[in-house]
Amino acid sequence: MRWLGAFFAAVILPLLLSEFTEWCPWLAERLVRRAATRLPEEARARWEEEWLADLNAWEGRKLSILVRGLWIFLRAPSWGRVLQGLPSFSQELRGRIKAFVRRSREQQTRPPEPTEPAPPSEPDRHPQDPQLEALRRYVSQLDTGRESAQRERERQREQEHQREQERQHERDDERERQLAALRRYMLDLDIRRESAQRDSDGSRLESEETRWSFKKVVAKMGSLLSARDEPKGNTRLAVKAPKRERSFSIPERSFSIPESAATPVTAEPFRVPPYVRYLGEQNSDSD
Amino acid sequence: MAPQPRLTWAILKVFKVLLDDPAAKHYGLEIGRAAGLPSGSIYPLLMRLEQAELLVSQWEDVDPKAVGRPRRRLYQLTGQGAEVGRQALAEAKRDLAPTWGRTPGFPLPGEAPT
Repeated sequence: MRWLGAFFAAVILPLLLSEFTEWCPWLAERLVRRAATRLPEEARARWEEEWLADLNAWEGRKLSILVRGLWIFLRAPSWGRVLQGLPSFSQELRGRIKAFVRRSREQQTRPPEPTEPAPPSEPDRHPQDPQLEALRRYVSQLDTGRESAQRERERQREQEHQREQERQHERDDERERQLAALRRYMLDLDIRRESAQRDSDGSRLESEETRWSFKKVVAKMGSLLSARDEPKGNTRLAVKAPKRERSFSIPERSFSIPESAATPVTAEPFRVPPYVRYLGEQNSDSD
Repeated sequence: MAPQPRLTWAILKVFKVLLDDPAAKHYGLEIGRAAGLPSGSIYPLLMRLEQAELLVSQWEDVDPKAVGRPRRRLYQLTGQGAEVGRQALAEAKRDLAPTWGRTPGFPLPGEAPT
């Protein structure tokens, strides 16, 4: 196996390399002829002959001739675009990148425009007719003015709508304030009504107490009058109402009874009620 | 009139080679070698200059069998090409000349006053 490897490295590989290098000019010529087919048809013959002449004049090793043919083969499409007056691939790619960057910058800086329906396509007119050109300019000016007026109307309508919304908000706020004031007023009225009711209840109680106390005063006064006997002159009595639990006071009243109206009574000891006497008798009997 | 090509550094080199002897005729590989351009990059320059009518080309007037090689395509500057080339080289020389250490209005020896 080692001998086979050594034989391959020493004999077969140099033979293959020399054979390949011998084939290089032929391969380069085939590549150049193939590259010429990638050019425009009217320039193929001329450039094929020119490239073959330059390959023949190329001073170098045969492998470099193959590299040169390969280079021509690879670059031929780009040179074909040059012959057609078109920009090369790199220039076109550069232009596309620049256009993309410009468009993206414009989209970032430009405010969004309202989408409008596309205008109907106009029929083709003769571009060099001055009257038609003037008419076209006039129509375009009219369109521009109409669009600007419509835009202005839309803007005014939007502003009016905003103002109307603001007024509505203000009316709502005012209504809320009025409702709050009404609620406060009703609460105040309730409080006053309750306090008034409490006051009226208190006064009613006071009047009842007054009536009750007045009855007691009259009764007391009657008992006092019945207990005193002053035959000479007017009898003056000072009646003072007892103190109440609810700090209700009756002012002192003074009155006089004429002597003629005074009833002559005799002072009697305290009369024991009959049922007390009865009870005493029953108790004594039981004893 | 055909559109003028963009005056790149490689085209200036080609002009310089061709303006050494404007009446001489050179083939493409020779021009590329003299200009020091990479092999293969001379062809698009020649195409652009020829489209702009700054160069004219014609086949070599030899018999391929007699000389034992294919005939070559020879290029030569036109009158307009020579003028454009000179202007381009002068502008490049003026633009690329150092400006430091020079006083305006006082040209260096051999330089035209500006």
